Amino acid sequence: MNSTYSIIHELIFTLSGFDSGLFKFENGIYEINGALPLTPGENKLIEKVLKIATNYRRLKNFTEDNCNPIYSQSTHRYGTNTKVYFLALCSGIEEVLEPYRKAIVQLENEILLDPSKSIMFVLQITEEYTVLLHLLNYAVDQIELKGNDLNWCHIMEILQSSPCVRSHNSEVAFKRIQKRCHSIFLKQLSVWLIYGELFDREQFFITKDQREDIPGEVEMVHINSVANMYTAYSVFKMNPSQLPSYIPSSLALDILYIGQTVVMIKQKPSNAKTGLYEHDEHQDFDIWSGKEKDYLSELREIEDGDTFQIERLKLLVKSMRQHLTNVLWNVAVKDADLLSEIKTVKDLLLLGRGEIVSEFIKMANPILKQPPNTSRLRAAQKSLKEAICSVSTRDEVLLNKFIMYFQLDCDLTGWDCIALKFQVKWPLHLLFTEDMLGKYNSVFRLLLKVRRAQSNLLEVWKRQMEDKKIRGCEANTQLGQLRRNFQFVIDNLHHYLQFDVIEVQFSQLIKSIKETDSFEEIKNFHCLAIANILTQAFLQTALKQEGLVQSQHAVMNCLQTFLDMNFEFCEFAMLAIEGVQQPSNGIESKLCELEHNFMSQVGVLKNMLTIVQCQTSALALSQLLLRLDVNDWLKKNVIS
Amino acid sequence: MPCEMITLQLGQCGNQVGFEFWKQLCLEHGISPQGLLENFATEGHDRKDVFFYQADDEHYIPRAVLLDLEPRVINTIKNSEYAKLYNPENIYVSAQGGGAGNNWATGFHQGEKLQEEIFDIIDREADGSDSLEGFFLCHSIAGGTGSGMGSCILEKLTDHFPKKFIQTYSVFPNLDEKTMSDVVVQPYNSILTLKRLTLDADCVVVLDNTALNRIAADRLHIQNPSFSQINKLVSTIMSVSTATLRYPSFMNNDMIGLIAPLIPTPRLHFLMTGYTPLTSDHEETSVRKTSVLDVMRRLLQTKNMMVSTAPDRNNYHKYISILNIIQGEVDPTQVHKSRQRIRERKMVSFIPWGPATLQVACSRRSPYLPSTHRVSGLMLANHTNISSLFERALLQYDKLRKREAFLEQFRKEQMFENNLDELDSSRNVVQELVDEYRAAAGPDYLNWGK
Repeated sequence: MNSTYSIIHELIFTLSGFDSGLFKFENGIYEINGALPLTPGENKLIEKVLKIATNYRRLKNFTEDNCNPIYSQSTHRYGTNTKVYFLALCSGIEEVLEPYRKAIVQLENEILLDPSKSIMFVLQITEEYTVLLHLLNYAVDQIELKGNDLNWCHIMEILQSSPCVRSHNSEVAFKRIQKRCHSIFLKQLSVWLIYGELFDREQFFITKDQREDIPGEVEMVHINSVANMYTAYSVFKMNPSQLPSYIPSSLALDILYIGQTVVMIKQKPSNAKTGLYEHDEHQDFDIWSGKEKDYLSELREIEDGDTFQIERLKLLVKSMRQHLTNVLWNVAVKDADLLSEIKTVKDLLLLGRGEIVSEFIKMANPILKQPPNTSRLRAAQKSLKEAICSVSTRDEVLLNKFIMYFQLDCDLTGWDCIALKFQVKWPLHLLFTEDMLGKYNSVFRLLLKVRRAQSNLLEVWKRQMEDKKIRGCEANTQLGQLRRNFQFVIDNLHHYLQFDVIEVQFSQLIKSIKETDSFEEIKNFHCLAIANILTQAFLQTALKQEGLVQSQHAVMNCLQTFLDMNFEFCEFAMLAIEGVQQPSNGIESKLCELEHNFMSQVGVLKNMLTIVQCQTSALALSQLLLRLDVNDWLKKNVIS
Repeated sequence: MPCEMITLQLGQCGNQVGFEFWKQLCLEHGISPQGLLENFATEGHDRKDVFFYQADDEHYIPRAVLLDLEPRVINTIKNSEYAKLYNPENIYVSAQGGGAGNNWATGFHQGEKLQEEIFDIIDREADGSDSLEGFFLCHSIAGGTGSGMGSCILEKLTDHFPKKFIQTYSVFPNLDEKTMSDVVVQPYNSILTLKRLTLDADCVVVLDNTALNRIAADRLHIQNPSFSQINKLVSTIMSVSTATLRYPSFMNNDMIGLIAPLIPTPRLHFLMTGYTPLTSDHEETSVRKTSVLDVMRRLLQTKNMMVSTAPDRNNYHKYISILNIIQGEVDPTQVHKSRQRIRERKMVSFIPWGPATLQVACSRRSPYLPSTHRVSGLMLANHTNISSLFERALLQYDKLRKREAFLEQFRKEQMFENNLDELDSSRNVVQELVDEYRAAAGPDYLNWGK
């Protein structure tokens, strides 16, 4: 009797996580130290109790090892990264073990009152905690297995995936631990959402790209480029390995977007009118217009809830996102005057101001028909500015908006690699991203080529008109006719691109912008408009659908051939007209060759026409071909 | 400032037409009759510099030279509220002041005598522009000054400025039997002027008084239209045909870019015009719903053409080229649809020997003028049936010439002193023009004249 009593006593001691004389904690488990004067049945019961004690002891060791501030700082096995979450985890475990500890105290008291209580009684009291302790141990094991790779996300995942279904108690307990951890997460989240700051940048699914100076691949004329000075959106990235699977990636992306936008808005230049970057910490733009309190309290309520209410978070994030996109809309459309900025970009990059373009081509052609280099770039930039000044003295705005550069992946002539960079007003750099401007520039170069072809043809026309008084020179008629045919194709191509494509897309875009109040939508409309322009201008050669890419290539090849032939023709025609008084055989044969080439390209166009008639999908091409074939000339006059 | 145009207005008709043209431009650009920029017009994105130069910040002066051999019309201008608009040094009235007596030869001879003084003015004006593109010449081909002196100036301009573009707005006489002009030698004047228009101008916009009177009567319901009412129609055509230069967009920013696609070969440079919708002053000015298709379709109807061509019963004649300048609220997609519709319904027939299309340019309108129509349009077209107008002129010429009628005045001038070769050569040039236009309607034009 006495021995049983002392065994029970030692057992209680063990259940509280201490070593005792009878039971030793060795190699991670409690074992009976030597033989006990008990029946085999009692021994079995003791083993069961010891299992519970072992589980508790291991948890106790785990929390003590990792959470004791003095202790853990030096010997922490998982690095400091996971520390906050670890602390939360450990304190959570401590918390859910509290009922167990109370039960042990209670047990001890009862045994003191009634020494006749049996081992069975001990087991009866403690058995209630078997499942919980076991599950917690299982979780801790998994966490320890991760070793150095452990991050907060693993912790959350492991807690989340514990099979608590069969035990209500353990379910509640695990929820409580999760809540502790989530409260850390929600704190990080609120700092990020409201202020765009990263609280613990190692332990969040959003990270900041450390390489802030990504070298540009372009040669710049001016150093004071605004575009690079704003923290680009791409600085913040999502780290999928830090994202627990129960947070949908769409939600995560929304969260990323909100923080990014907050960071971006915080960088609003203090003098929005100049559009120049002057970051001013003190003058804060009221991003949330007073709503941040509501958002914070909502976040706190989510934090206080017993379970992690993902749906509620989703709703909150959605409304925050909506608010931000409206704020951006206001900033973009009202403050930054989006519509007039779009017009400016279109005026220059999409050659909306034809009178500037023709002057520019006149002035810059001698420079840009040569291979590109830095001094030619400067000269060309100067020409463009002079061209702008020559047509209007009031366009100072336009003058400081662009920077010319050469895209150096090509080394033919300046015309082939000319590009413009735009300094749009903050925050429109979000619309006119480098990628977007690259697309604009590819249209820009095509249009310039068309305009150059046109102006060459007009020179030939001018020379031919001087021959009104000389009648019926045969070579001249032939030359004139070929000139007219070229002019017809090039003019119609030009009108097609500018009118049927660009005007149509932009009038649609502007209509859409006026109808929406969301910046996000504006961004999408803009992307769509540019994508459509590229497709309809047959420049979409990097698409995924192979069929489309092929047809785009075919049309573009044909058009480029027309343009190149046109340059050759104009050069030849000017020489031929000058030398027409001394006719030589060379002229006639060359003329025939050019004519033949022209007609064979017309043949290519005609074939496309037949293909287009078979498939209704190639709308853009059919529109261009309708222009070219109003009087059925294309269909009738082809060398087959 | 690139692409400036200098406007030369000659004779009674030329100056009247020019006067209306400048009035219209002033209204469109917000320039007061004194040449001052109105307060409401300072923020405009228009190009005033094509037709005006700036004396100072607010002061705009037309690049116009006003020439006449008699002072009547120019005095009217000088006594109007627009008196201070023009540079007084650019107004030239022959000191003799007797006019040309409606005689081409007198006008031409006077032009030769005065050319030094006249070209002093033109040269000064040309030097004052940065990069002159060319000249507009407003005149009539029937009278004496506009036709005779106009022909002389035209010849000299081509010599003097061989690289410059020359476009004329030439008013053709009213050949309606009832209101036939009282100028008996008008057929001679016309043929002699037509020769210069064929050989020395780059583009001739034909403004046919017969058609203009018919349009005024039929479309505007004015029974006896006054000169100023007719000239208003003319100034509308002139201003809209230059709208793409003055309200720049992506295309047609200079005259050559605008005109060259319309002119296939050097001599076939006579353009017809049409304008719709037309409203007169006293009509109510409610904005009407006109669609792009309405406008484009109406512009193809002969009754809207401002040239009275002979009826073409066999549908022999063809369009060589068409440019529609559409102004107003235009949805760009409508243009394509309209073109498609016109093609489907075969509303227009083009020459068979080369590619041709219905080109459309959309242009802004002046923000300072109330527009009575949502959409309006001007057509500039090169149509082979314009030859019927020249044929009619030849016919009238032949009638007179056969009788050797009214030639005394001509024989008084040096050019016709010894013989009438100049008349014969002019007739030949015009006949050739008619033949070429007729040939251009057929499939074999490219082999014509070989």
